[in-house]
Amino acid sequence: MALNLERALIWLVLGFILYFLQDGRFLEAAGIVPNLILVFFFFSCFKEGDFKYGLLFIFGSALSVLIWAPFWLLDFLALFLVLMILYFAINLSPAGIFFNFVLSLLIATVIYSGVILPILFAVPIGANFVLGEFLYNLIVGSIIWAIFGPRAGMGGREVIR
Amino acid sequence: MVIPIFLVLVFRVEAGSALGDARFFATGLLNRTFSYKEFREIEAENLRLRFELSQIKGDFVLEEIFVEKKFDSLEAKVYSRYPWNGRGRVVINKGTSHGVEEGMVVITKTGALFGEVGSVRNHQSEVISIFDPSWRSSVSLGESETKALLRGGQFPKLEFIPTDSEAKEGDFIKNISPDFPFGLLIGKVRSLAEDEFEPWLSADIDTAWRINELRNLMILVDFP
Repeated sequence: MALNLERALIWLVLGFILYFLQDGRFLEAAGIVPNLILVFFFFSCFKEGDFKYGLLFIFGSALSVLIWAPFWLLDFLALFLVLMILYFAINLSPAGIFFNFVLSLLIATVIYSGVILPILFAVPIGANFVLGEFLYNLIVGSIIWAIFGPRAGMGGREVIR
Repeated sequence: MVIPIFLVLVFRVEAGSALGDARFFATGLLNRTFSYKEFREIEAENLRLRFELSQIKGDFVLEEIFVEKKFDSLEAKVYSRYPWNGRGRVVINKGTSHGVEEGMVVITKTGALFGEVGSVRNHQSEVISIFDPSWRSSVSLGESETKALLRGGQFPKLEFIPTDSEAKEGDFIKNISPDFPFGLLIGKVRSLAEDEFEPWLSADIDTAWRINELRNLMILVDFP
């Protein structure tokens, strides 16, 4: 599937900007920040129906990481790997794209914050924090989906603009 | 001859003022009542009084490290915090080109312990704060100087406080780990908790600073 250059550029720039916002802990509440990179990666993949847009989004974010916060490049790469693997696994599910989107948010949050960070980087995060982050990601993801998502909404996979 | 006299008469006020300034300057240079040592002592006394006043008011306090100016320090600006949940780390705008090295102690501008330099680049460094889950250091509590372990995290805690100790709520928490200057302020005990299965007490603390409010930090460049 050929890339729409205009959309590709939008996702690339959005990735760059969103990491900048993530770096500033945008939307932090009660010490919890939503994982905007995670939410928008899945959103780009499911909305466009092609992981290449998600890849461009991540590439834009990676550029931003290199410029603003090279110390956390390893954390970012770990997140990227989790997202890619999960996308391909969940995309096989026959359920609707919104359901798959929410499922991706849940599993990715649990795996990254609950498993990868504690094991790879010795960062133990309490279950309540992981749950809090998932709920926050879900709220942000649902709002984004409601505003910019495919018109088919909660249901089928077919309508992708 | 006439012209200089005429000029002096016309500008006598300005000339008098200039001569007066020159006289003050000369006597100021020779005046032994002012000394730099005394100036430093007055400055230190001022800080000490502010320290005592803040204790009376119950605020967090200026630390002796600044009163006595024991260590050379380097001021740094905070770039950003760890962007996701979990870690209590920040990036500052000083690196190897400014003489920063791994393991250097980082304190707040009011003299409270912030953390230590984790990794360094040319113009940036990553600082691990006491809010990082990997943080462990020994501390003492209040006047009883009860020893405890500070465990970092989103909400840092004190552990291994002996049950028969005199530690109480409101006690100041000070560093006793040899990795950092002795007596450096960390915070106050908010509440003590007893666990029936443990022979120790644990405590929640209020830190002397909030990680999201910090814009400037000080790196101690000649410690230990």
